[in-house]
Amino acid sequence: MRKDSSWADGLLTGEILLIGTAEIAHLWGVLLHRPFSECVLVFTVLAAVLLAGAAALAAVRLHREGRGRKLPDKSVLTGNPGEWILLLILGLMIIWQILFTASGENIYRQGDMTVETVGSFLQSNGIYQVNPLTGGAYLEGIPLRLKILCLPALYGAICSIFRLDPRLAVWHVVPVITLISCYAAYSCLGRCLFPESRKKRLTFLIAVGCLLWAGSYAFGMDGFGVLYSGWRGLTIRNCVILPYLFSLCLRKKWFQVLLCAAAEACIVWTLYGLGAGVVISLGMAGIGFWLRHRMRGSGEGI
Amino acid sequence: MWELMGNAWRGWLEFTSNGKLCALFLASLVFLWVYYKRAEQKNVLIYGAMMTGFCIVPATAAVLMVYQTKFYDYQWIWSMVPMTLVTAEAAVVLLAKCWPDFPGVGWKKGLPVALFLLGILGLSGGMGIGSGNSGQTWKPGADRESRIWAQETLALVKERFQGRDICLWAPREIMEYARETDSGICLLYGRNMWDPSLNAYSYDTFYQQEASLAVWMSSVPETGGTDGGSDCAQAVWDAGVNCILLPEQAAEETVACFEEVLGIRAEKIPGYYLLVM
Repeated sequence: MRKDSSWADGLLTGEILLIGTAEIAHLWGVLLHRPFSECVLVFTVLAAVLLAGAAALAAVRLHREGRGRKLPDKSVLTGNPGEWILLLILGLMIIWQILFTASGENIYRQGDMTVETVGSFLQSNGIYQVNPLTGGAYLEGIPLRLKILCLPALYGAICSIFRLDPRLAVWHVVPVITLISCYAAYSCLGRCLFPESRKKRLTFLIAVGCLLWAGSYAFGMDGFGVLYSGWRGLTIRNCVILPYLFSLCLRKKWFQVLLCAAAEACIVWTLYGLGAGVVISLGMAGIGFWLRHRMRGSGEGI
Repeated sequence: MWELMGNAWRGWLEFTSNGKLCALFLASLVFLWVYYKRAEQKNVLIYGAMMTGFCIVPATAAVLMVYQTKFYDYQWIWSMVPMTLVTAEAAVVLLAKCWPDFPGVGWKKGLPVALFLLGILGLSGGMGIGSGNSGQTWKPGADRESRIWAQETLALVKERFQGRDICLWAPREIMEYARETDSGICLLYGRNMWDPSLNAYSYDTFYQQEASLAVWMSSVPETGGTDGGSDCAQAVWDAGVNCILLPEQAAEETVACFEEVLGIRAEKIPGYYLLVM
């Protein structure tokens, strides 16, 4: 990780790479007509390689810090009581939301068949071998653009590796991961928007938490997605990938921006791979370029 | 194109009819635009303002809807607008201005502002209570009883089949639960029968006969299923169903009709008549 990266960057980059890994395993099954158990094996091997790489990077970083070239630690709280109070409020809010989503007591299933799809992958040991809604053979099949989306395979692999029931994994575990990742993404944004003040960053995250609660009134809002259907591709895109992508655009980390746009194409039906991420990246890059050009023109400098 | 623009306009009206977070976002955008001068913030603000305009104006909204593929509805074009980001940022800027030394001095001004913002937020949205879509969210707490019922019934069915493959035709709650919990059970028709939005995931659709069977099954608790029972029995036999659960409200003549057509005896189990072929 680079100097301006944080734990949240590590978590989110790891998740995006996991989505990529799941896509490879999924396409392995779809295009080569391989059994799902083989896809799980491919996913496990690739994920293990990724994990080993991440561990090696972390070890190198720790070693470098240990040799005296210590990076400034921005994560330690100062003695400011305001920061402690804000941290307490934020912590309580996140715990409350985690309990809310983990309970699976309120979920929105309309237009969603993830659990049935994951179950059918595991049962038939194949990807879309049967219609997930009936268990019978497909008569006409499904659109290829939907068939290549990898989230069911990812959840299926998780169920297979950890021996979880699809309902437990999809309705209880994944929404919690999405919620935490959502806060991680907004934490990255907070660092970009308010680099000078931890108090402001904490306030920012509390405001985001309140907006998630407040926005739970309608399907399509961020809050509704993250609190009621955290396993859906659209929710992961809107509440994790896109906020993170904004932070990457502000930091001009264009390679990771590309990764985010690719991850979106793996989990949401896009126009031949062109999703919201591409619009945001182009928009932010274009506006940034225009602003710099304008400042140079007026002699202000950047 | 006109139809798309009409959809976009109706989408905008629907989007703003429930909660008012969108209005809060617009107010935040204006506030930050007036208040903030930093270049990096301007990036997000200019982008946010531009995309908001695109999402509101029907012509550009229609283009965005085509871009995001027609698979998704109007509200999803707002994914490209940083609503949560801008609104939260505005809240932070306002609070930092009114209560810079939190929690020390300045609380007389800062606390009312914080409470005011919370109040506005509460009025703009749902605060997690009684969401606008509560009727559409699944609450096991509310129908836990029927799910336990479905669980017990399915356990009985599986006991009768002793590991044989099951192709089931039953009332909606049983079929839904069966497919959700056991992927080994096949159904005559799927959840897309009562949730048409699921039809978007497949080229397969159900046939008229299956739709008629679904209507007949849902009518049994009220009518007893006396009308068309033998036709239904013949149709499910032809479709390869080997397990039928009729609600206990089914009339005696209906059950007898099924027994006659299928050549088997119905077993009375709690809540249902079970017919195993």
